[in-house]
Amino acid sequence: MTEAITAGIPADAAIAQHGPVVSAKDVTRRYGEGETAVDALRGVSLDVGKGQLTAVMGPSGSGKSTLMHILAGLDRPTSGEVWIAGTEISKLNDNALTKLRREHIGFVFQFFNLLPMLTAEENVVLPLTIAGTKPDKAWVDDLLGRIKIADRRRHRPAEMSGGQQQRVAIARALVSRPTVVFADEPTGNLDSATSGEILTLVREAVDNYGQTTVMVTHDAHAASIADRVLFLGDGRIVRDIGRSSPNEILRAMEETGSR
Amino acid sequence: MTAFALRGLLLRKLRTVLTGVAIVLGVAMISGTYVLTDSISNAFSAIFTQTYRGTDAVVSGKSAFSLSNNGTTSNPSFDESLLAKVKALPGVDAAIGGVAGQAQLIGRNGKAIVFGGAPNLGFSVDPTQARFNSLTLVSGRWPKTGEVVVDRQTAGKKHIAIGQQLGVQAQGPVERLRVSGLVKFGAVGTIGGATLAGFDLRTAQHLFAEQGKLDQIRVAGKKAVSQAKLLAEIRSILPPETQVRSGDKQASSDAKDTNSFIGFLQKFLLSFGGVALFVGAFVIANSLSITIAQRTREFATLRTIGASRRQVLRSVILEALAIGVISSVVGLFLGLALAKGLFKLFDAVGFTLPNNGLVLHPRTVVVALIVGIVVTVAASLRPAFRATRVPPISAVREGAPLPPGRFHRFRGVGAAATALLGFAALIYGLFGSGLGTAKVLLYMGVGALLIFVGVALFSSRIVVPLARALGYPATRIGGAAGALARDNAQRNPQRTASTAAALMIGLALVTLVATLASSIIGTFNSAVDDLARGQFYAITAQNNFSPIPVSAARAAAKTPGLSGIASVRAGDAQVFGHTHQLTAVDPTIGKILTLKWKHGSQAAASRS
Repeated sequence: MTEAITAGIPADAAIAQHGPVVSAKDVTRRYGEGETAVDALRGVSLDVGKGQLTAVMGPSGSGKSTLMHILAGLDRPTSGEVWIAGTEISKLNDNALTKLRREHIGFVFQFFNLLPMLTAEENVVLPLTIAGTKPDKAWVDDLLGRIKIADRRRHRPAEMSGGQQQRVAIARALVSRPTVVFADEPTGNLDSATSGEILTLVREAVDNYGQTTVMVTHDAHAASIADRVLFLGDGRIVRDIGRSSPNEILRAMEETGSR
Repeated sequence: MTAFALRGLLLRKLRTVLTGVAIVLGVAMISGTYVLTDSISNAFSAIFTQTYRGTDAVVSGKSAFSLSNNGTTSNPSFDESLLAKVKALPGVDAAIGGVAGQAQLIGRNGKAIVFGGAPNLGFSVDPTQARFNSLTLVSGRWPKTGEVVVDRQTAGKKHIAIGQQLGVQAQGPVERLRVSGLVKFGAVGTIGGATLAGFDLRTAQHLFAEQGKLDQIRVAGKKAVSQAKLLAEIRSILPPETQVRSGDKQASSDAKDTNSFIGFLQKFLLSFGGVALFVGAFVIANSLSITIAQRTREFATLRTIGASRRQVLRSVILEALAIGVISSVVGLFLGLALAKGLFKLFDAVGFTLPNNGLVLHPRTVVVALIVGIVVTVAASLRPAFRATRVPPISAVREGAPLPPGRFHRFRGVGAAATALLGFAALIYGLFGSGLGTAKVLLYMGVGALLIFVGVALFSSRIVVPLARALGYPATRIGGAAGALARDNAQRNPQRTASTAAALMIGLALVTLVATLASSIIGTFNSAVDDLARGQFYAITAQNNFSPIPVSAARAAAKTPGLSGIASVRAGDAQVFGHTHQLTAVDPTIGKILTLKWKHGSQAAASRS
């Protein structure tokens, strides 16, 4: 069955050119043991090409969040392999995973997860501070300009709107120029107007900086900015389509039972 | 990361302050104790330095053996003819003889003037030799024969005026003396509750029943003569029952008694400070554990954006360090206020301590800061390690449980072992033979400490069954609220247990003090009750240690209706090569007190 799904993936120019930057091979994830065990993932394989924006969709319980947690090294697969930037990460120890997160992974959360005691600018450069590298001022100024909070760089999260907070969070994910950015329902906690701004920002990062991005969403509009949309159902990839309009995505959702 | 840790504290101001208060109080008690005792000790040393002002050498009687340090026995006096011989020495510039002792002042109402347990000092003054005089005349004039000068503090409190007659009683019946002047003791602020009475030499010798005798000769040498030479010169003419010491040595020898009292006070108060810090450590550990549980998502977020466990650990410890430093500094200064308050408190309960201004030694600063900071940081270690176990996935998923720590499975065994070790130390301290008081206290203290920690560690195990048992009536009476209370207590057993631990220590402390007080009183009561035969009365000086004249016993014997009277006198004696405190009694004692005889009998004692 796994082969059938893999076979269904269309040939991708980016992967052909550079090889995948993120890939999963026969990944399964089982929670609990014995009769009460739940299979969240039942064998997922996928390759994410460099500079691509991939959306992962699916109804709740489909395993899309679990898949992202495993791809990002937050959770470990029960079986299978996960590769990021040429490293198999599913068996790395805590220190190696920390190093991997610093160098290769950026994160955008549904609930922003900014640190409340730090200013916008401090939040943006925090990954660099933690890694002990000096921020490149021009690059940070460029980012702050792009997220349009240059005048609020000394404000704390509590003094900012949800959209502004998420823009800061996106800048934070981009600041270390990671191999891949994972976005977990980045518009899930925002109204539709603000969602539009955030999606534009995510798309710009891919177009302007070639930022490889994996985004989990249940919103067809959000998925329509992606170069590729994966549909999960019952722990498997059930559909894999290229760039599509919201309507095409809605149709695919209906066909795969994602709605 | 530093900003993250420190600004986080500002974000949780109230909790940070409340956490810090526990340490502030503990440190304040420690620094307050040091400041208080250093100040007292400084005041005493100022008093003794003042006493031997201008004195190069001091001649005094020599006891046949070294006396115990309880102050009831003083060196013997010597014949006053020695003074002329000392004065005649070529190296001696000036010398005066003096006598001193306990002199009770009697107020207008006929009652003895006593402030708490402070001494009532009487001594001769020689205003002609100003260089040796430690007293300064405030008003009136120096005393002639049959006159007395009184310190202005006592005079003020008891409304003693110049020209009035004042009762003074030393080694004889009460004498009526005229108050000729008021004095103060050098530059010392307060000499405590002591009363000072100065007489001319003849009057003093008469009062202390030392006619023709001296307790001390103070000597000032000629400028060109070195102290060593002066001492050697004096030593060459001294009769065997006297000795000579330099003024400084005599002052420090006199200070010995007071220093042992101060040492006791210091240890007593420090142990309270130690307990306060121990409780503080529990409060901090608890408080940090709660904030860390609340900030799980913050730590997880830090982990997802690349923070290592070590960085998380460091940020929590840094927080504790900041709390520790600030609290310790605040506590240090609060201790100064506390010392001042203690002086006032002791004064209010009638136990006025000598005071010559607060003294803050560098040692106080160093000890208070180090202890406060170390305790805070040590208390933060467990919560800090818990924070490092927050998995990154908690940033995206609510309620991901903390994985158990490496030592989790040893917790039960560790708790039991700690408590058992504590019990062992406690029992050894209680029943172990041949242990000194200090060691007994040490073993018991360490034992109690270990038991506390052991019980605190283990108690999380019994929270769940205990809450279930207690929860049953709670749900029957309280309904939904009762059930919520039970479930809340069970939800995080460790939190429930550590909260209870702080309460446990508080209760134990109250029990300890109550038990100690009642058993001390009980011991004395039963000792006295066992001794007494029928109704008996004791006559003592009002401060319980000044000697009372023999004539008082003779006068009391004339009271009608007495079945017997016995005098008691205590002192030091050398017996079989050791110095012992002896109590001498009249043979009639058997009529009044029941003595338990190990050998011999009451009859044998009465025969002599």
